[in-house]
Amino acid sequence: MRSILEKGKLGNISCNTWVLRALALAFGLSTILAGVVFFHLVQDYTIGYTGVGLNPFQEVDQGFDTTPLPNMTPTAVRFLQTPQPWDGKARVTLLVLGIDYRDWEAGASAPRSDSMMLVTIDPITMQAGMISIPRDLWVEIPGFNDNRINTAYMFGEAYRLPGGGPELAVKTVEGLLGVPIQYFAVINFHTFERMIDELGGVDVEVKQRIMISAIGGHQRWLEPGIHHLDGPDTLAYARVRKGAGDDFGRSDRQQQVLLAVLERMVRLDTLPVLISRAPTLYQELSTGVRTNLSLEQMISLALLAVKVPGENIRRGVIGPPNMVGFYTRPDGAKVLGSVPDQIRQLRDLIFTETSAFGPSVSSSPSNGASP
Amino acid sequence: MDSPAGPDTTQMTPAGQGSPSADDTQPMRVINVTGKPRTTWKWLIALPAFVFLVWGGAAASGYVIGLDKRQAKQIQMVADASQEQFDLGVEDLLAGRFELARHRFEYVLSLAPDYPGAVELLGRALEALNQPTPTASPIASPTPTETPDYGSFEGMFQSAQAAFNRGDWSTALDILILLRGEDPNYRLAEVNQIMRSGLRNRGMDKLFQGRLEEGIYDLSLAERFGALDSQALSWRRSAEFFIFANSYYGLDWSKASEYLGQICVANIWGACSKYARAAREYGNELLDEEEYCLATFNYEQFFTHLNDDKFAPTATEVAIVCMTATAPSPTPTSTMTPGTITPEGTLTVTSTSSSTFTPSSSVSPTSSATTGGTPTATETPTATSSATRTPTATKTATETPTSTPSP
Repeated sequence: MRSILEKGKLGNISCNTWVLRALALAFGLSTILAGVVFFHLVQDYTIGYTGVGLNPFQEVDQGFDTTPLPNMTPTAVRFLQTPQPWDGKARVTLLVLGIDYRDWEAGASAPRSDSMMLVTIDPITMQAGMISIPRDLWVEIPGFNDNRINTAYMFGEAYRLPGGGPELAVKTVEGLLGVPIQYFAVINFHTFERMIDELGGVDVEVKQRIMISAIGGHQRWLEPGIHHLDGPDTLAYARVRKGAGDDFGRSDRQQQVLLAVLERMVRLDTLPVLISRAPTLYQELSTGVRTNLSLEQMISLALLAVKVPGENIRRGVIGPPNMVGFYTRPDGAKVLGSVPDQIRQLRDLIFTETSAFGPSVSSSPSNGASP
Repeated sequence: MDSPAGPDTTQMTPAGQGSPSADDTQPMRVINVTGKPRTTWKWLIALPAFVFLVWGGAAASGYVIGLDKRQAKQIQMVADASQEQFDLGVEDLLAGRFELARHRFEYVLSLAPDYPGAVELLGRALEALNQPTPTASPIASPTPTETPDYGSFEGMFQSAQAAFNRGDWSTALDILILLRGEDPNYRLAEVNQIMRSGLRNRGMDKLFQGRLEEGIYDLSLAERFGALDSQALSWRRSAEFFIFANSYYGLDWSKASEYLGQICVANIWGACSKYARAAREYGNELLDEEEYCLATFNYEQFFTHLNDDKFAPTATEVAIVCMTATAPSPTPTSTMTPGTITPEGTLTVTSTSSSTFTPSSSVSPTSSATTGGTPTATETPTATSSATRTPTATKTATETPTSTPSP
């Protein structure tokens, strides 16, 4: 009887031990498995994060033909300089380019830039600014004579110039405005939508009734007032042209969206969450964003941008009535001619007057002029 | 051998301490309550240590291997970019696009200074462009300078001053901005003085390099510290006028040729070749309007500065029509000969007709401009749309610009 009881006890002990051993084994295996996953994640992030931006040399696979255009012989082109590491004090200027989805989708030729915006922040004076450049502006493109400014990106891509389209676009804008541009970010539409969705959408104030049409989606009217828009609707709002001020109203809306993004970051403390997810986002968005900004620089700039008071952000659009003239070329193409001294005034308002190069540094709020 | 302090789990209970019975003198086996927690404690240490070791090891090895792969990837990317640009450079060289080829080879050499064949092919491109061929190391290596001292404000200031003294305006300005970011009031007057001069000089350098708007921007920044000197002001006005004139290029040939013609008298920034092209295009527009003589005049301006064998017959034809229209009984035997442009810009159309087309007025502005070093330029543009201009640029070292063209 006793032996039976002891046997039973032993049997119980053995059973528990086996269960424990099995659990320990499962735990060990799962730990090792997680370690393997962790290993690959760290390895992938380490490989992917180059420290010098996304695809600084490689072109994003855009699926278009890069055969040089006929009857075009580029001449002198000043090629890219590798951006110096940002010291945290110097003014930073970034050219943001949106890519024309119609070219993108057609895949027939290198895409033209759909929108162009220059964003600048001076960390010493804590002043920021943005200038939108209309895509039909007739300018001198280094090495390619005169043409619409939105073709600069296309030429750079088509001729596979060092630095490609972004670099030629940067050089073109530098020639137009005279300000040094250190960084660029080329964003395709889908990625833009994703970015807005990651923020949980943005709030924009619609000033006049406007119909938006999301790419591949619905159309709807937006009544005047504040609207919370998701990614596709935000893109549609920023791109709509008809009946809402054409290209210039569109540029204004694009700036409005950028400010809404900044507001979103500040108001909801979204930035820490975004930063914690930055490596993942950086990887995910890398297919649709081409930039020479490193992840650290992006984070530093974002942190700096949210600190700039709203009244210290000056913005302007190169547009009528003073800064451009309307022309029709012999081939019937309608383009915008620049009025250099007027554009220079806008440049000075946003860059010169807010520069740390001055007799004394003041970070007091500007008058917030928005010509 | 048992010991009370030993690790065994049997212990004698001390007399009178919680024994069930005072009469029970048998040793009693009790479960040591300290034994189980000790085991748990071990597990509590062991499990996280195990997890930490596995994950930490995974992360460390992932990072190290990833770093190696990243470096390999970067090297591959640079190699691919170099290879691509080298191949494209060869294509450009063969196609006669020497300027583009040159820039591609320069780019390749900036990525890989010892890239095989790049120096030689860059040399060929430069030779074709009539420029000095490169030496073994075509990319200028920076002159060794003392290491900037950023450890103290004074060190930064001295570094900026040293950079300024050797003419490295950008470095001086970069350091001063850094200093200003740290302490906006440090040696304020001196910092301002160096900033002003650095911006002014860099702006002038950019103007001489043809980076006009960039130069104007630097001069505008310099102007924040006080009024610019007359030389800088004059060059800035000239640059602004050139940009103004150029803004009509491709959009309004009439205005482009008119304004570029005025800046052409100074023969700077390639204004004359632009003027020539604008004049030809404007001539074409006039031809469409059957204004043959005005068209001829503009074609004459074109041939004053540029040659075009293919275009010469058309221009000659138009000149003949013009003469026919203005002469009662012309017997023209005219030829327009490209490549024989006289310094006076004389139309090389000859005719036996008693009435020949001649420009209505002649202006001979004196202009001079340097392309580097001390900027000097004098311009006396008094051109009109029907004037023959004679740009005679010379390089002088001490002249100061006294006037600039104005629209």
